Amino acid sequence: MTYQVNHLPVLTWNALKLNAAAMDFTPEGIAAPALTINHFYGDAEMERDLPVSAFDARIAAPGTSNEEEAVVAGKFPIYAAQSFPTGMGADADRLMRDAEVPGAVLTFPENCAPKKHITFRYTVPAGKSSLARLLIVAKKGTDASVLLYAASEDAAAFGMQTYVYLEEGARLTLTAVQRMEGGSFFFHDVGGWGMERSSFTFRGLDLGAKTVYEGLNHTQAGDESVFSADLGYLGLPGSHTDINYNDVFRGRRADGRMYFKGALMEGAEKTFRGTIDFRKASVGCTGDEQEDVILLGDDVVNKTIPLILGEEEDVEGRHASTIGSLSDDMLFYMQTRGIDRVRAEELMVRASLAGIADKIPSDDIRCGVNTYIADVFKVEGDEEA
Amino acid sequence: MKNEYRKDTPVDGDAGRILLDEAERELYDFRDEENEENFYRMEEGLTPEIVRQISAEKHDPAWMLEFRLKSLEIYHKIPVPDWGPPIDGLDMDKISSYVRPKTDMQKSWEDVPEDIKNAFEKLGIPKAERESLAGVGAQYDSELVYHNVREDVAKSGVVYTDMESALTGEYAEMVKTHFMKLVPPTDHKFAALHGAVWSGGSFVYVPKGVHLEIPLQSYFRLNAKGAGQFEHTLIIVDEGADLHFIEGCSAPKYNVANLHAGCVELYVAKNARLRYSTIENWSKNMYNLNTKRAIVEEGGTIEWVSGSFGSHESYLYPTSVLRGDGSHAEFTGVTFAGRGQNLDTGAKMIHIGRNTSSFIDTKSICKSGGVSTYRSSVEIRKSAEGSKASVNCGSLMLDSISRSDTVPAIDVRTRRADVGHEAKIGRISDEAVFYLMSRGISESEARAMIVSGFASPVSKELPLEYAAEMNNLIKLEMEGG
Repeated sequence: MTYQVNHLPVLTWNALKLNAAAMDFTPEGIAAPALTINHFYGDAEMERDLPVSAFDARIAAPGTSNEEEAVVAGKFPIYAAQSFPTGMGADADRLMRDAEVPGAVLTFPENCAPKKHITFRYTVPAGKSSLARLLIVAKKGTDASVLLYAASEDAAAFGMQTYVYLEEGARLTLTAVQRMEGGSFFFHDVGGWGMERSSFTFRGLDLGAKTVYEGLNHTQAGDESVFSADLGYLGLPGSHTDINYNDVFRGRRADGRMYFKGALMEGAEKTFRGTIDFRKASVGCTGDEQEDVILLGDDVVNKTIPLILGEEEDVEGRHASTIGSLSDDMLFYMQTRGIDRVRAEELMVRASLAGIADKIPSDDIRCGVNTYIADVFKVEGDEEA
Repeated sequence: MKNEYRKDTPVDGDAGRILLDEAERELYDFRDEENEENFYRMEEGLTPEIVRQISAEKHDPAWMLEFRLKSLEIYHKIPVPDWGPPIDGLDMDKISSYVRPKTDMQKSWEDVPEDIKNAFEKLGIPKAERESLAGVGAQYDSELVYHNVREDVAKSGVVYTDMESALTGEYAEMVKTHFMKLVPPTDHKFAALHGAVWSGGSFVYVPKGVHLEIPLQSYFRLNAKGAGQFEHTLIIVDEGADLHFIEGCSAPKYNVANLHAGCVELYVAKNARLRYSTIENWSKNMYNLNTKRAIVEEGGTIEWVSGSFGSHESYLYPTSVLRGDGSHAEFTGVTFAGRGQNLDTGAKMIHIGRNTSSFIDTKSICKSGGVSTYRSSVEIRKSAEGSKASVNCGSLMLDSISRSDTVPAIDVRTRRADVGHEAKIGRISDEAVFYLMSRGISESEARAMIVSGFASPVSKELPLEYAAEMNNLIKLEMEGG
């Protein structure tokens, strides 16, 4: 089946083929991923295997629904409203319902501050398709860190939805690392909702899968909330990456920033949609977005559409992007120091992704990421060297 | 005289800020009564019969009638765009696509009928022609009423004439080769509409190596109520030549919809340069669905300077196709959306040749419930190795009942390219207003000065008279709130 995902909040020229992505996925024959949860500390509570209806009931978020504000200055969003908005949109919900995916709920009780992160390791059997849903509820005063790690032994398909609900003053760091094997299909759909003075830090790394859909929508509903997202990706030869991130400001004096860093190798395709969305009454908010792409292959396709939508006067929004290859000057400099093009490219990609990789809270996953990047750029003779 | 500001009003610094009295608000809003004695008006609607009538009125060659009818067929097949401002208020059954003053085109202002001449006098066109232009075309509703080019300019081989004369005269073959080839009727619904009912506009040919030191100008005035204006501008700047072309437009306000669906096609040959400047000030009942496109050959340059102030709704995205190696495009634009306006403007850059470069710098301002959308696309094709593109868009919101969006797209298909983009949205800083007020300037003047300064990248690129007009429009919009 084809699902329309990663839609822009407002339409633009259809010929650009950027308004939404078509994602093919067969919601049948789904196998549960092997899930291990490590470092399960503190008072956090875990509920597993909630049926679709029970899980959906838990993700009904408070506040204005998209439906109520469907007409914004005469512009109609192309997507169906969601009770808890996510980056990939209503069709991702539909897919999960079609496949009858059970959900899990992780709840951090009030003032819960585990000393270590909680790791969810999803491993998908070779050749299989798996799906998962997770709701993280951080009650008042929580200060916690969760790591999601998706891997496969061979080409496989895995998709997950993660919802994050932050109560007043809650702080959560969510790190999501995808290290599936070549030829794999992967999607991660994130919805966040932050109340007063909440803080949501998201770090994502996509390494390995051939087809990737990444969506995130964070609603800064409360005053003085903070949101920060860093996403890194390495587009392997012939890979397809489709990204849609939205930061929606509803509360006052909120601050949001989203940084994206990636590299595209020969024949890789990437589409990036990023939106800073200042809704009415989001007085005093600041939004910042930056995208940097290194083009490593001749036959690449890099599409970028960064939006700033403003319904409020007293805001500051900024987007910047740089897209290009390593400059001749840089390469020459490297070569004078005995570093060839491939190694120079590896260095640049490592430097680009290091800001995210270095903050992965698990030593073995962090090491695995660094080894993986080195392997991607390995050329004949490296072993001997 | 309401156009006296051109000579008497002090110009203050780069921004050329101009203070106007209340009466000058009506500068663009006067209107002439249309009557059967002076005007011929085609019935409303859009049918093959109406298209045939227009074609007969204009004594089209046979191929043009065929082209018009084919365009009409295409128009009916293409859906209304679903991505821009809503145009539900535009009912083509209530628009007359051809209204002609009962006069021939004149080469002397003395011969232009008094009421029409007065209209252009109020807009300062004859005066501008005397003082700073190499040639002028003046269109009133669907037809040109005046066209003239300076003798020395004509002697250099420059052709500046109305489209109808060009279509049947010495340059007929050149027109046929280029007409709607860059913007084919299949491009979008309103390009097809234009192909069916176009009327008026200018044809310019600048021969090889000729540099025009002073600009040519066409001015379009739509006076008729419930009418459309569909002028076609075709400019060919031959190898190594240089031209600055200025386009101005205005209309009085009515309580029914008017439509402007013009088309501009610009051909810039090897090492040639064309600057195309526009100050658009259509009335606020106007649907401005205009198409502008340039194709640039090796080493050539196209520069767009655009000020969008009028219209009820606008779709306007001048496009530069950089086909030749080393060709270059620049777009500098400002859009000011006030009460009742939804202006969707921007630019498109298509890099095809190697080592091409483009630069977009836009400013959007919205106020009093106006909606301003900056929309653009930069496409760097696989063949465009070594190309560079830069996009810079700034938005200024002057209150919280307005809306400002930026929707820029970038598509890069070669690694040998460098693309940079930056967008900012914000408000007038209280500190800046306070600073100016502390020096004895009133708050409203301080805000107007800051807005003029914000738009100064555009006004700096315009000849003084037009910079003054643009700043005048900003001043009017600021007072309008």
